[in-house]
Amino acid sequence: MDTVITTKDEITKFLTHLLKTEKQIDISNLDMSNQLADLNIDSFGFLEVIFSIEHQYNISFPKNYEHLKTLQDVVDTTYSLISEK
Amino acid sequence: MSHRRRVVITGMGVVSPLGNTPEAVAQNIFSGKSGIQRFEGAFVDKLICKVAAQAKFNPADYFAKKSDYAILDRIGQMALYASIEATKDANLPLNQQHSAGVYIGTGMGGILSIEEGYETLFKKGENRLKPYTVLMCMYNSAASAIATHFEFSGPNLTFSTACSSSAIAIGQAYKDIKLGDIDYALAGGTDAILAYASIKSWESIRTLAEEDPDDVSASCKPFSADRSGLVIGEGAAMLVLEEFEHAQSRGAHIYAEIVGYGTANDFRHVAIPSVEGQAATMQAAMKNSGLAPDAIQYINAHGTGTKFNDETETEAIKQIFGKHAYQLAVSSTKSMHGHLMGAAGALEAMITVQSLLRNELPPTINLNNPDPKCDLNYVPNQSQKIENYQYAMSNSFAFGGTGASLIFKQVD
Repeated sequence: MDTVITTKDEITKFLTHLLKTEKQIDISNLDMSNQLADLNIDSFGFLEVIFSIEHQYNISFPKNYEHLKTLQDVVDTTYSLISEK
Repeated sequence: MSHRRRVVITGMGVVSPLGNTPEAVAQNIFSGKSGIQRFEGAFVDKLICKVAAQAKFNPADYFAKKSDYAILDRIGQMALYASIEATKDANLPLNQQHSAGVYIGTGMGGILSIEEGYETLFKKGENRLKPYTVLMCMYNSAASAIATHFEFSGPNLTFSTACSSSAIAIGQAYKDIKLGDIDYALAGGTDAILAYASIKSWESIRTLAEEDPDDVSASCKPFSADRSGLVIGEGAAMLVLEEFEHAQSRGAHIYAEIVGYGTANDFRHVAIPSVEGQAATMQAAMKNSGLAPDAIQYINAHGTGTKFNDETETEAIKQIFGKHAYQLAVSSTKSMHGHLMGAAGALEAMITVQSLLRNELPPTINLNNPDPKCDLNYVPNQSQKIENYQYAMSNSFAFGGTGASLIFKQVD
């Protein structure tokens, strides 16, 4: 069992950092309730975000993740995937 | 067609072991400077042949932001940069959608990305690859990056015929412009094969040059009796090819005209060249140009520096040009920039155009021990000035058989 518990806050921080550094998104007004569709990232760009999250936490998102609508959905899914490990 | 369409070159861009501007390349070439060095890379100790012609090209220094190049393999980064420079050089109006074409040659495509992917999976033991891996590995990644960048909506074509890839690309663009399908195109080539497994695969064919014990930069010795093979290099060269009246009507600067292109297959062996195959290639270009053999004054040879090629090419030139073979000049600039593989034909086309512009023949350097079987004027070691210069040819031959010759004419 993992001794380090990853919190949703940490995931949020990591995701925000990714969006800023990898996708050059202005994070000053970013909110986890933001719709992914409004982030000005194309589907391939979003694949890269998912890839970085998977790499960071050694998890695998399901092939189809169209049900993810908001940044919070990404955080929650990441959290549950880590918990299921 | 009511009149004969002509094709001219109006822009050039380059990334090469001799510099990343056409001017830098010309300065080095015509003063006989070599860009060949000891290979710089993490795995150099594992190489038998430690000589290479690397392009000093760190994309971060050439693009405004990381997102401009991060999702491109090195072939795409180099070719896109060369294309941007070529279009600036040509002063092409790029403020609208164009039915222009992109014609690119690459021998080994995104091999660096393929190798990186394998390393991630097989060596590091990870179980996932970057999402852009497919788009970086695919052979048409460079052409796609260029066509997307410039919003070109015409033909977007990639040719892979090993070492003749970019000469074929230029030739096919020339044909399509001549036919009237398009008015202009970016044409050229790109290759970046200096990865561990790919160098090892070249080592195993035993065709790479041995390091010169006194001077690494002199390791490639085309047409010399002591030549020991080719030096692998990397880079990209892109030309703007344009229909003559299109270029003239917008007041473009014209560097040279393409007046002939031919391709033929050397069918006898996948890797050993034949006189017949190479001669057939030059013959096809001569036929296409309608020129008499004695019109050709200079040939930028394929001239790899291997035993097989240089003898064969010399013999093939004699077969096509007869006695005139001893009047014209032949040189291998690979002695300075190494073998750029899929980009070789395009870089050498550019150098041939620069030769016409300067009325000067580029030298074959490191030619100090003439091979009795190679007895033409190879412009040994120093450039030569030439008068009444009009026509020059550039040869590209390849593993797999596809040869290509291009003929250029000085602008009146």
